Amino acid sequence: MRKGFIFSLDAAMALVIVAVIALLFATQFQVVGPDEAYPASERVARDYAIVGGHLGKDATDMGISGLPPGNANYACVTVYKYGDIQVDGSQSSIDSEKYCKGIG
Amino acid sequence: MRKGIYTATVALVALVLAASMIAISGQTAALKLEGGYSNSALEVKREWQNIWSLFDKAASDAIADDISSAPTCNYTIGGVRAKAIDYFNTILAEFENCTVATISVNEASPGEITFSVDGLVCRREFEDEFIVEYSKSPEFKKTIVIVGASPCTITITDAQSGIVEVDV
Repeated sequence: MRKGFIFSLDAAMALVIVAVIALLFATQFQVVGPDEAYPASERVARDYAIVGGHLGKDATDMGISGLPPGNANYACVTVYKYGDIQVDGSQSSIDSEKYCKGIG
Repeated sequence: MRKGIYTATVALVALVLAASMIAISGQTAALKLEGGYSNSALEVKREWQNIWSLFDKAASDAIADDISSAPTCNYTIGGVRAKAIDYFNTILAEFENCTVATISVNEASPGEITFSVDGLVCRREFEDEFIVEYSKSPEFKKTIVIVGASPCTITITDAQSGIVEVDV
């Protein structure tokens, strides 16, 4: 290393610091990139769930699954559905159903 | 002299690079925040739509149940109104973010009942700095055909969609 040229010690340290800072911010950018911030497939899953709930269709009828929650790869939404109307003097049941769709 | 120039150049590049990274990171964070707000707004609207869907069915249920309560296979507007308000309130109890101002039930002509829900509002607040509110006043129109009297056949059709919701 020739002291006094581009490879001076303080210049080398500055390069290292810049590299570290760049790496840190680049990593952060990857983690919270726009695609992961609000994936379109999650919106689609929720819209399908609402439509399915209104039409009285099961999750599978809407092309989505009723997979159990807790799976990070699935967007799930709970929809309340009105039970079959009976002429019996009392209100039909109101049940909740969970609709899920894979997030790809 | 030369050493100082290169050091200063590298330091300047470092500053520019760091500033760029901070700016990009800030923009990304803002984008994520906006995305979160956008999703929250959609969630409130979906909640409203879910209630609307349930009210639509409950209106027909109220008519059917009022008819079944009468010995002569008939309904009264007062009876339907009382049941509708009761049924709608049961639904609202499932949605803590939504309220209704007033519910009115009118019979435009024999066999045509209109349920007017004034001020169906769903509202959420996020950390005192972001509020989402979705408000509309929907109407549900039902057509009722009763044939015979105890026993009778009852047909209730949603006048807006044409879907037969009760046919017994």
